[in-house]
Amino acid sequence: MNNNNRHNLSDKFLVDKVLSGDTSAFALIIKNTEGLVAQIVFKMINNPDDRKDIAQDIYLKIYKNLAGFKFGSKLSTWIAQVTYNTCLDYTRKKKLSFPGTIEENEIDAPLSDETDTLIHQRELSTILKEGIEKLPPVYKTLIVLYHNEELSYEEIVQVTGLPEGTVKSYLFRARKALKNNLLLTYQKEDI
Amino acid sequence: MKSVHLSEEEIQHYALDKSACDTLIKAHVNCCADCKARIADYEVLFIALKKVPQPSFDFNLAELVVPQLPKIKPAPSRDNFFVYAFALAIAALTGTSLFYFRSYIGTLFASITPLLIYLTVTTIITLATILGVEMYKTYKKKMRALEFY
Repeated sequence: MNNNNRHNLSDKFLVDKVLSGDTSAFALIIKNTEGLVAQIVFKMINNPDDRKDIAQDIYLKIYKNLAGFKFGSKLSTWIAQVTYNTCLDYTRKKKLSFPGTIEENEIDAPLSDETDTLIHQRELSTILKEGIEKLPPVYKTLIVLYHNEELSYEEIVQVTGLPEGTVKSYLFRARKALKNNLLLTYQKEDI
Repeated sequence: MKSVHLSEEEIQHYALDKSACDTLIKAHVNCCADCKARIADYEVLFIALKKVPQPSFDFNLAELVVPQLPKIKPAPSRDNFFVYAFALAIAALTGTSLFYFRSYIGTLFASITPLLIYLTVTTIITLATILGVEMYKTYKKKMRALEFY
């Protein structure tokens, strides 16, 4: 049995339990997916109070629409899609701009020979975290979905509703910006 | 072998999935220290990205959401389909029989006295009511046991 089938079986079991009135099964769905939901919400919403309201709103929407879930994808992918759309609606209501632009820091000279030693000058993950925060919300979200949550391009397309070419292009630009930001930080520290 | 350096896109692609890259690209990387160094930058980045601490909510989401859940009406089961299909088949069979034997129906009760007909009908209605009430009570008891209400 492949991984996808296994996912679908456990998803179906949980969804059937919820639809028959078992709220503890829904609590389990929340526990299983809140990490992914947090990744998207934290990347797209800056205000901590809003995050709390939006997270609740997302799961209430999921509960109300669960009977309409047809298992065309993994349950977690569908939940990520609801999360992304809810966050997008929120930002549209607040009139925040999307997808935003990336500040280009062009670095021509590769510095990889010294990379390992330079890492010790400052915690790499801290620099990266700062770099990710500088990205526009959609780019941040795509980066965490691909590199942290390890979603495929196809799944990211399902979640965001963006064309595959756009997803690849945004990811390319985001990675380039992150790498340049990383190298720029090292150069500054080196000086 | 590619004579020019790899594009930024090719560099990213190589760092993400070397095995999916063209042999010309692989051959160039083997001989080009500059491209190797650029790939290494991305490899460091991708490894580091996986190690960035993941955010988490500072509240118990399940505890907040579960009390707000509205009651879901259980989805109609497949059993209902069979019950309705069976009822329809019975109705169709009865209707067909009545239609074909309609000429005999008038004479069927002619020999029975009105009092006997009255008693029969009353008995059938009483029995059907008692059975119906019993079935309803059993149904409610089972539903309570399943904690649907």
